[in-house]
Amino acid sequence: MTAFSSWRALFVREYLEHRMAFQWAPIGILTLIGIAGLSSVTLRRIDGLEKFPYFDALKIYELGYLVLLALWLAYLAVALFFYFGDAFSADRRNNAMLFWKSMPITDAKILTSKVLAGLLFFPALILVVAMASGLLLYLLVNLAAYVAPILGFLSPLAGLSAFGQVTLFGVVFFVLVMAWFAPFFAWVGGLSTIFGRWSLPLAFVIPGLLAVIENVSFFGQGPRGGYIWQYIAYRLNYGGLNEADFQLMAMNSRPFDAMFYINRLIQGTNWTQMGIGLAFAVIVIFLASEYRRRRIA
Amino acid sequence: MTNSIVSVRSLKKQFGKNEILHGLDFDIPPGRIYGLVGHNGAGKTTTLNAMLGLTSYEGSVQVLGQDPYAHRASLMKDVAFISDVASLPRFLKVRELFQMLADIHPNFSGEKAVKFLEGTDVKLGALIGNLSKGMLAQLHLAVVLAIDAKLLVLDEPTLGLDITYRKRFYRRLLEDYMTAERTLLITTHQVDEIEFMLSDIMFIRDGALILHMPMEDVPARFTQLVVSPERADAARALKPVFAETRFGQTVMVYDGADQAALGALGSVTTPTLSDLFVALMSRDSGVN
Repeated sequence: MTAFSSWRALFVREYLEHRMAFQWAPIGILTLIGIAGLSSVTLRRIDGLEKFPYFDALKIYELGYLVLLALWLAYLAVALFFYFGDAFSADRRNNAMLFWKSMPITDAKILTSKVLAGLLFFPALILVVAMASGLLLYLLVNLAAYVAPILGFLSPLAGLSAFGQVTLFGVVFFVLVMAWFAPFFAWVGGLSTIFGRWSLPLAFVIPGLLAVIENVSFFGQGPRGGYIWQYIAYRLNYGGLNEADFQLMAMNSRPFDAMFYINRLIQGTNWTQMGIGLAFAVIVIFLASEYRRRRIA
Repeated sequence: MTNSIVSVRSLKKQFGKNEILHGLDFDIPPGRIYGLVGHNGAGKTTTLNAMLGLTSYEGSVQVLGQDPYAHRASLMKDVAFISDVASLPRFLKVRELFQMLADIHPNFSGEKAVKFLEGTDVKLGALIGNLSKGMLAQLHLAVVLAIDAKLLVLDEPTLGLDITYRKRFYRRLLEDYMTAERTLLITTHQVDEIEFMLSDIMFIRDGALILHMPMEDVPARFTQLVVSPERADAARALKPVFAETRFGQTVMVYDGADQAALGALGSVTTPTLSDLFVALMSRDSGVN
């Protein structure tokens, strides 16, 4: 047994407890996407692409894969919201607190493993499913080209290159988004340690009330909506890319260049706010672990 | 006592304004089997929780030389406990639980745990959430028996189990676990069932320790006298700590009385643990 093996065991524990949301459900959705895509191509419901052939197969593939990544990221965000609202109080709700307290692991380590599972391990699982959907899309695009030759085929080499570029961008985007929203997820998890699943509404109600109190107290003195509301609105929007970047992605006739957009992400990210958010997340998790250390029921 | 496994001094615990423990003092040496007995709400579980680092307290508690509240995680390498047999993670299969424990606990042996499950109805592929309460108790016992711990704490481990499971539970505990180096602390309401295995007894009442002694010293200190009604007054004069009438005869329990003098009044025996429990814990001693 090593220090690593206990971390591994805690990650495996999270995986086993939450594999339905982060493995089986995504695989089920991917299967549905595959069936839907196959049926749309074989039943020739791709007349939109045929009537308006502005994009070649490569562009269709790149944009399709980017949209799929965005959809998987949206799924991940929702699943993580419920995960953080559930996992931090699961031991108490499942009457398993005393069992975990009988193990030679600290409460801080248990909560840290939950945070790392939520921000690294589960996003990695979703990313793997997203990559599988990218490969599936490659097959569908070529199948569509077979049914409607006007689209043109996407060669394996070009497809692999596009897949690699979009995936590389997707990995960096996932990492940055997770880091940007880490304080929000930690906030939900911290509340869950105390309030259980009530953390889900409270995650919005508490800052909402604070914003209302600020407005009532200092009405007209601050910015529109108040400082709290302004800041929350800013933090709820990751500004790594702007509208022009997304337009460029859609309209640029050249193949997708991951490094260009990664550079845009690095330039567009507010690293000071990123650091403040991560520090906030660490503090919240520390406070939650201290609360858990003092409570057994 | 310097070589104690557990050393407790002036242990107090308050919930709000209500003081639950009123300054307990005791030591538990290694290699002993301690029974901590008391009514519901007497403070047994709170005492155990303080020893296991599960709750804050006033006073001093040292378990294996460590402050359990400050160093619970490190202490749990050498301390195993069952506070609730229904607390095992229900989403795991038995095999997954053993694998996870092997990764988490440096003193857990998966092979031993599998061996302890032999002869039970618990299968390695079974989902813990699907096990009956008796099976859960067997599994939890297998888990703690497979941990090479210096101190094992069991808080009402057989609560809700039928007599067959309870007897098997204690037999395995005694046969498969206890060695001269290990210490066992157990709380239960069913004192008759653990009396045969105890080396020491502690009675706790209303947050105070009212009895703490080796079982072998009980016969020398406590005497039970069954006396006929005509000699009852003479027996009462010897100041029993408890008296009650059963089937027309009076049963009295004495603490530190002259056994020869009692023998002249009636039939003298050593009280069983449950008799002693009733005698010492009853709010109405029946003496008057």
